[in-house]
Amino acid sequence: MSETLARPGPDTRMLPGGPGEGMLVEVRGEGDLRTQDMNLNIGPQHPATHGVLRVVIDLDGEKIVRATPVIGYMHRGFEKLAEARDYRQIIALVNRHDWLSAFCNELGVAIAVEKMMKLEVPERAQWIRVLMAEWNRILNHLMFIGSFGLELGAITPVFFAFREREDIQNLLESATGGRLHFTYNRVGGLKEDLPRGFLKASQAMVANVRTRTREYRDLLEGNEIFMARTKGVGALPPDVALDYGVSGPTLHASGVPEDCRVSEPYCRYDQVDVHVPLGTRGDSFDRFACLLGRVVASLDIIEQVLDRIPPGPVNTKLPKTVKAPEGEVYVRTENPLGQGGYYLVSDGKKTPWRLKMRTPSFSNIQMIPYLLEGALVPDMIAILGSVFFVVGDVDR
Amino acid sequence: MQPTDLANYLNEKLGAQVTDTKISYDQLTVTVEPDALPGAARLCKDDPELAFDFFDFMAGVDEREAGFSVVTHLYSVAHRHHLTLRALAPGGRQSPRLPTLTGVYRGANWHEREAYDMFGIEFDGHPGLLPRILTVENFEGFPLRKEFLLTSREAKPWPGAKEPGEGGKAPSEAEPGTAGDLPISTEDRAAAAKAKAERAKEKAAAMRTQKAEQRPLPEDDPHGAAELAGTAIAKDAAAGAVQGDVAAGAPGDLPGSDEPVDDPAAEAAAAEGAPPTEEGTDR
Repeated sequence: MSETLARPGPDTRMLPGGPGEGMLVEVRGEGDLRTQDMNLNIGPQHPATHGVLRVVIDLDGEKIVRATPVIGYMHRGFEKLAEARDYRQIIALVNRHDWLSAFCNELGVAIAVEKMMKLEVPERAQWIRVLMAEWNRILNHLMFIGSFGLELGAITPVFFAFREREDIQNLLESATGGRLHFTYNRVGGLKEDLPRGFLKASQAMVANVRTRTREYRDLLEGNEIFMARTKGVGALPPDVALDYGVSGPTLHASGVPEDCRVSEPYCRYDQVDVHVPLGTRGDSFDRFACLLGRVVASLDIIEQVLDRIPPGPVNTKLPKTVKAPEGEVYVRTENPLGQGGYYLVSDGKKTPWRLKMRTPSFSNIQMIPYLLEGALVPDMIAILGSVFFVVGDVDR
Repeated sequence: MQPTDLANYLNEKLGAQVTDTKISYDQLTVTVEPDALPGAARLCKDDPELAFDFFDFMAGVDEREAGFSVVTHLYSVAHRHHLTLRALAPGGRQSPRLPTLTGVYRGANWHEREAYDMFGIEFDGHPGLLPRILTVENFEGFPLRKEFLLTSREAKPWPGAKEPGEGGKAPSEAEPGTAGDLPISTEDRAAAAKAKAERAKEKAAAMRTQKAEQRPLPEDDPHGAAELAGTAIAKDAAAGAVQGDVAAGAPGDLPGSDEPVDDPAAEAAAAEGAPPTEEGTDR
């Protein structure tokens, strides 16, 4: 254990040479089968971590005795920056912390400001928001489907996933002008209307992605090696998940159907059928299956939305100065990685007094030591890969 | 439970510990005595009528002279109701302190560390607020306190005005309601870029003629182009110079000559357009 590791005792000695030089190890037991506790840094830059997450683990042989995630390497102070910006400017700010779910992030803060200003968002904008949020969700999930396979040694899925991502990004670029940071939401609506032919292209893309989703099922879900690496690995009980505030596919895998598109619908989610795929065991395999299931569920939502987008304006006329009245509001949305929330406190000025970002990855990563303790080192890869997170979303 | 029923229920259960209840935008905020916070959270979690099992988030809020308050948002998956528990940390702005919630919700751990990191609120009984969770170890101050100013804003005021007619460098002639209420008007930016491009072009042209004059005189060249005079490279370079081509690679273009080091052609290109490329952070 690291307490004993910190101070060299009679039984501790330095590892000679090599990458572990200077590391303190403790020799336990006697005879040929004695083990050594080792304190090991995974990250900040490591293929097994997403971005710059660092996990310090104490190892007893292959077994992880203790794991401590070290975060903050990507802290960019968004909450402070938001306090110095106009309500309309924040939208461009908040789509950056989780760069894989830009639209969904913007949506939350736009709804929060609209709620405070009592703005009526046009019907067409509401429906387009649902459509775009679901496309963004698929975009996000495809990334994780690909990268999870990659981490477990399957190279092909990531190429497949990026093929689809490219197509969807092109589609979204035609409407928003952005491929990653869409900044398509505005306070009171959207930046502009959809381009001509967007809905038709969406329709074709839905069919396209739907067929290709079957390929992922065959490639990963039905893959024997994949099952061996993920089934029964990192099981998360539902009560622990809720205690930590875990949300999104990670929570659904544990069998908790909490999804605020269903429980507290925003935009027009109340008028569409939202299927929430659930797991039973809460292990890495279930988490992946939920993610894949969500892609199909999102495709279903898009199909429902496509026929129902009414004509009309997509924006409301804003007063020259956007000022939210004094008070506070909390708006939560189901982001691709989990529940995203904005707690907005206004003092009646042009900039928010306080904007707290409740990001799904922060809560999800906090739970990781629970899963890692007692697991083996190769399982760590499966666990870290299956608790879907973006480091920018953790650190903000 | 509806927010009003919830407020009544909590008032009944907690009695005098509740100092204030407020419902805004259909969301209930209950302010409790600081010492009663863990007890109230425990009640919220364990009472079957309340069953707040989902720990959503915890955030510090700067309350001006009163110090800092901490809001804890809870949600019940079974009953689908929300609650924001609020407590004002005693100790004012100097030493805000609150009891920890880590004994009730495991998720409170990192959120409390964050509140400490950002506001300096200490949580009694917390397993370890240090090392600082988001900032670096030797960071001074608590960034989300209002007295902590953004360094960039300290050094340089916000470029452009937020409103028409406000101070700053915003164009006064901007029509209100069009581009004027944008932080920096697009016309202004375009005009500035155009002017810069013009200036850069003039500079480039001036340098080009200057160089073309200098080129035929080998004694003026400090970089020994004369030694290379017979080689093909120097010939190419000379030919380029005659054509007025100032592309990098001509010997006279090396730093150390009388001209400034910067590349006027590139500057012109940069000023003329080509927005900065998106960062490559895909993951």
